[in-house]
Amino acid sequence: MGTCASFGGIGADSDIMASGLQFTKWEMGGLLGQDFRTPNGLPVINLPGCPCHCEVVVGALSAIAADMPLDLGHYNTPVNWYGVMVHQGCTRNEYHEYRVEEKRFGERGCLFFYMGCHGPLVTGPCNKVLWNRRSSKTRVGVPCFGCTRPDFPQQYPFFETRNIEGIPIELPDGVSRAHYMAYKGMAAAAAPKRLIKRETGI
Amino acid sequence: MKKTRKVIPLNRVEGDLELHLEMDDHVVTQVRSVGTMYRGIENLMIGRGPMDSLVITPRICGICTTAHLNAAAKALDMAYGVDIPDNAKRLRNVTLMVEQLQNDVRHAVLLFMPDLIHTSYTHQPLFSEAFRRYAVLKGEATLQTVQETKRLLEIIAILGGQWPHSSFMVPGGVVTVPADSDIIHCRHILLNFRKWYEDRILGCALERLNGICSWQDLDAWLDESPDHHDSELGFFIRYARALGLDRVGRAHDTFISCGGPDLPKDTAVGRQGELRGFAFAGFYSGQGVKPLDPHIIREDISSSFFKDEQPDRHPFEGRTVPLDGEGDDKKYTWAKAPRYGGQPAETGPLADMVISGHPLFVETLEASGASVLLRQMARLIRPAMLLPAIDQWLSEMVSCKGPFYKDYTKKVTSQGYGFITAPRGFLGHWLKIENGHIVNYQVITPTAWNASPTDANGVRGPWEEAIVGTSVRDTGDPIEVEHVVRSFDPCLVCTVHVIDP
Ligand code: SF4
Repeated sequence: MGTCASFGGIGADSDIMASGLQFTKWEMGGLLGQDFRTPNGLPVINLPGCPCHCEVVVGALSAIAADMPLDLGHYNTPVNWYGVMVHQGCTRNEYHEYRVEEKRFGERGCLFFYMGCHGPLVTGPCNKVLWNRRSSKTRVGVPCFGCTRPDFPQQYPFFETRNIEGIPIELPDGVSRAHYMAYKGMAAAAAPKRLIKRETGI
Repeated sequence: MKKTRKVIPLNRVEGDLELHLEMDDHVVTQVRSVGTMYRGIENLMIGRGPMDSLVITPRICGICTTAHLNAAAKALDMAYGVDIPDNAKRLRNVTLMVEQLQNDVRHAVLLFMPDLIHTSYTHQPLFSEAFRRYAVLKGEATLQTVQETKRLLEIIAILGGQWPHSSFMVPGGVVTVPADSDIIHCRHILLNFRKWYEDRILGCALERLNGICSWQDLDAWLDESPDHHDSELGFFIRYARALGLDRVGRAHDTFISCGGPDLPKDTAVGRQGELRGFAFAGFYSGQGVKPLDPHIIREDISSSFFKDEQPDRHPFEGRTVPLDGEGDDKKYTWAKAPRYGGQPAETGPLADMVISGHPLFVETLEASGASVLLRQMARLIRPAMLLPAIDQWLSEMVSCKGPFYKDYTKKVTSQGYGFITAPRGFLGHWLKIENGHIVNYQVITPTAWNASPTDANGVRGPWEEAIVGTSVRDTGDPIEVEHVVRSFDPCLVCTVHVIDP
């Protein structure tokens, strides 16, 4: 449970050279080795996140206790919670759609192009189940730092998006660059005034 | 005389703590406070972008995460020379203080009290009542505290996205622009918490409590009504006295506080008057209170598993180099020893009460010194000082229209520090930037002050000092020593210099 136990996390690049139970960052392996299985034949089930959302912990444990099947996706994470992008459900989605992107804090637009938001790049239920039943970082204007991803904390600075000619180097999961650039150009041209003026109440 | 040695690992603390005790005929004669794990977070910061501290350092601790964020943001504010807008101060303060509220109540009820239903107290007349209130996962007060503090933290989520581990404070202010409706929800949540705190923890309105200036007043308050007598505060005072907790746990009686939150320029909240209760930054010793001088803070590594050609350094020059092999037998912990002008100092709610001049606490301290009871009482009462200010700042966020963030110019080479009163006391972050990267980052946490080991002069840290001399009934299970340590609200994850923290 948590990114450290799953992938090594904050300690992976430090003097303690931490590894996860069955992964070290992106690589299978880790403390128990890639062949490890429990007596019931299960691999390590990873619940990454820094922190891991409490509903994910309780949900996964309940499923196991009730003998319910728990489908595992990438990095042996349960798809129920890690099959959704963090971006899904963010209240800034409409800004994202029309490429109304922010370059400074304290605004209402999207944080993907310039402010380092990882919402469309990583999976996690932050904007689906919400935090403390109320909100999420991206909703209030904190970029997603990708804390569920095997390379968290990343080696390049937070709060900035690495880009080529204004387009992020890392595009949303599974998207082609050429199509994405065409789509974003048209989307920006189609952006309604109320968004450009940040007139939504979010 | 019977000599005993005993190692006690402490549970219900964040992190790994062991106490190595030597006892002579049921009295503790020597103690070593041992942080058993290295994390190395400070070294992890070196070479990173300055803003990365806002993401990494809140993860030092799952309880004072907002305090670390605030300290990191303040260090950057100072490094970049930016004076943040009033509304940003209000929002930062509200979230910081909400975190203090939850910690004060959770520590008092969920972490400290369970030791009072230890099997060696079953003969106590108040035992069964204590059990009814504080039994783990069952006690009435326990369950209510879990529910109420959980709800309270929703305020931080509304204003900062999530608790723990958000990064909504940035140099220049905060990223959030809360809608008026957000503030209304926050005020509702706060009001509900206040009502529960008044009914259950205090047994009276906040205002009534603020009138208590001496033990005479307090005893009169206890007898005044069954609500007072039976509240958590009333019950705690009665039971703690019966167990003699007013007579154990005295340390050096030196205290350090970095003061209340930064006041906005235009606000009804002050350091005096009705909404008082905030300490200023200061150091209290036998000679009264002196303003805090940041230059004379040093960290000593004489007893710590670190190497350095100097025995101590100012945090701006601080180093965290773990020993490769075993040290000499003087070295016993992964915690460093912070000293103020060469002296150890205790920090936390009691330090705040003393330095803010609260008459009840100052009077007791001068008469008989600090104790387990006094520390816990400070923790139970502190929310009463914080609640009105939080509500006032929430309402000012709506009434005083103004920005929450201000643009500034980044400097490629600079330095700064951020001092914050975290739930457990004085938290400091020191940051040095060269060529746009962090070249040094040092953190001194409240528990680092309290849990500090013995320094080059052979002077013990506060809780070591508080433990020595404690009488223990059962040397195989020295619960009295646990009360003493617990009264400092120990948190070791942030204190040990893990290969990362
Ligand atoms: S802020 Fe992040 S999560 Fe929200 S819409 Fe933009 S990219 Fe998606």
